[in-house]
Amino acid sequence: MKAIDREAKKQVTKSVGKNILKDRIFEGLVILFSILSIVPLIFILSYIFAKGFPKLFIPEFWISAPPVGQSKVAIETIGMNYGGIANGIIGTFFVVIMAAFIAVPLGVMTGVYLAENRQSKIVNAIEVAVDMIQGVPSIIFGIFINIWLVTTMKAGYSAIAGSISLALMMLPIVIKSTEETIKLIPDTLKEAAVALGTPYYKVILKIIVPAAMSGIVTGVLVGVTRIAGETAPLIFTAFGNPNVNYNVTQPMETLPTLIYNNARSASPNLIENAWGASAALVVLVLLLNILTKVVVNKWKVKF
Amino acid sequence: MSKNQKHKDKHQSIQPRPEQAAEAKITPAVYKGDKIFNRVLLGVSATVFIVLLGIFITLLSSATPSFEEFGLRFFTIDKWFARMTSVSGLSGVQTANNPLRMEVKFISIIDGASVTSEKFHLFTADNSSVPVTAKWFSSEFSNKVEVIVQNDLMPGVTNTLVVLKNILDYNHFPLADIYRCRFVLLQTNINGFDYNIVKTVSISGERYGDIESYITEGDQRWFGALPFVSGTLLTSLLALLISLPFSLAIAVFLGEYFTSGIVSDVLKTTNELLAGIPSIIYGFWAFKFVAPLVYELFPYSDGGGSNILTASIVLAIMIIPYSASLSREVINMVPNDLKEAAYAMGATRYEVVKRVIVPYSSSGIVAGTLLAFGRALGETMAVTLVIGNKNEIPQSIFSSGQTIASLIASKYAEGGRMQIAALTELGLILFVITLVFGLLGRYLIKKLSVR
Repeated sequence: MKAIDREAKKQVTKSVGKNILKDRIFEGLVILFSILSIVPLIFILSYIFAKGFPKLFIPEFWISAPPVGQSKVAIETIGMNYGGIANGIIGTFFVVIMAAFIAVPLGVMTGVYLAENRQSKIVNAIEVAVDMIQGVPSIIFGIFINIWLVTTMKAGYSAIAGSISLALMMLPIVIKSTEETIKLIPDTLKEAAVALGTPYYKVILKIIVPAAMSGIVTGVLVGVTRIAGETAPLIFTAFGNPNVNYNVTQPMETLPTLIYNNARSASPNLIENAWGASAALVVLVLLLNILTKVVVNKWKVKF
Repeated sequence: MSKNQKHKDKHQSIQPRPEQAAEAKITPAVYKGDKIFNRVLLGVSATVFIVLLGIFITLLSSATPSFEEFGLRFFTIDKWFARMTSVSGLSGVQTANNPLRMEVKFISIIDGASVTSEKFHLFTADNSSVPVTAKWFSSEFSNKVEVIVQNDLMPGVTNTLVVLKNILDYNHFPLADIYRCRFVLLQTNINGFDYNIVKTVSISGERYGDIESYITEGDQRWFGALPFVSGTLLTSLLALLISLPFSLAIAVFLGEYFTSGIVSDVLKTTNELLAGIPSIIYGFWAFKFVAPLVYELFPYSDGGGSNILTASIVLAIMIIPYSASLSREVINMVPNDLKEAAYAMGATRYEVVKRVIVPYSSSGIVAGTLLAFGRALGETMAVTLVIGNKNEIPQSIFSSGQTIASLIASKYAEGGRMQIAALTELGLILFVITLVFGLLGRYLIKKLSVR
């Protein structure tokens, strides 16, 4: 009897030990893979900053366009300008601001409508459409706008076409964040306003939208962060431009297209500029990320 | 703070009971403006729907020439004939008994069944020249270029020169779009002289801007989707395979092991940063860092490291944060009771994950994976820079290839009519595939959250 007990105990400890060992191995694997996933970020950031960070401290880099037809040797011997990314920075500024001006009103209005009419079938369909648009590859927007604006309307490549395609990408982000925030606002707030006899449009404009402002701003910032680094829709719409350009009906360079075009070039000088532009773009995106976090933390919806 | 609290309390005291709130239907005020306001909102909201529908219809109508030309054959054609090379400085070596010197300054050869004619001079030993017209026939099916040289002074006197394309030496340099191939001039007979040429000539050229003028109607028949569909599926599946262990590990790490605290904050922040880095930066970094690394590790890989494997690695890095955050949300949705019950039975964490969390959230994890797959399918810029841009069916993961998105990115701006139609059809395929994956993922997540 005792011998059997001992045997059983042995087996139990054996299986428990095995289980614990399995658990340990699993835990080790989980932690290992999780930590390994940080490695690419370190590689990317260190590589880009090592290559591009020194460029950021050269004033000329910010105020001049890339040199056209100058080799690095010529630049070094004659002492000409290395060139910069002013065209990309100005273009990014124009294109992103225009895209935001198109996307924000449309997005906020749609978000309000979706949050206010939750039961209707049209709203369900639109919600599915918003989800789908979020998943559409960015290059498809480029083709879509290219077919309509650049080819069919014969307007040619222009910054406006680029910003419309970016606005389409930004739209679902703004819609979603607006909708989610408005859904968090308690009905009592609205009821109080309605009870006072306020017209519905005033309830929306004066009470709901200001109350949801934090969510809207967050959505806009997230959207801007996303489209600031987008290249694919721009290469057939805004196209790119080696000169500094302020005319939005003309082709315009943005930071991502500048990196794309320069990365393919054979000139070491242009590639160095592309590294500088990458560093600038990463810094811009990081700053926008931090700003978003600050807004989220400081300005939460409190109900 | 206290004022805020007070305010909140006040609100709560006024708040009706939930049942009452449900009964009291809010009737909008009767102002005329309200109806218009609501209509305007509805109209604006419909834009999203219109855009989605518009994209579909636009792509469909724009791809019509391609539909009419290829039909379903589009998916089985494995050729894409827009590749273009030009030949410069093609010169022969004269044999002892041959006083002729042939100089061809610039000849365009389009890969594809094409005909190009060029006028040039044949030089004799005393430097007098004979004007001739050469017609070049080049075909991707055969490994030679046929040249018919016609003496312009004596019409009817023609000779055929065969130029052998050495396919093995065919090298494609990604990005710069410079093609270099070696032609072996075999033998010809011009003006009665034997012309034995055994010298290999390196030919390099750049792409022309105006493709339409060089492609004849015959070429336009050959645009097929097979290399790109296979390239897209291969890179995306490989990327998914690479990313799965990482994204699942992160999801379990954040959802079960370290739900809060500094460690989880660090991991969350790094994941957010990874998700926020623009794809062009990934592409540029991979082009300068990962591709050379891959080439060093696997020296037999194509394109100096620009191949399917490199593209998949980059894609995997890009989709890890996305699928990890989706899976984490799903894992957080597992009820604590279930997990606690398992722990109370003496289950280890591994067993809880395996027996409780994974079965409960499996459909959500599958949905996250599907959505990540959809994202990988449509990723453009990073892939374009590192995939090698070779319009052929990839033979292995070490060969260069092309995905649908990267093909569109690199060829759309300069295509001819039929080529653009074919590219738009490829875009339509991509659009429909991502829509299907998106709908499927949405459905699965909805099903889970309802439970």
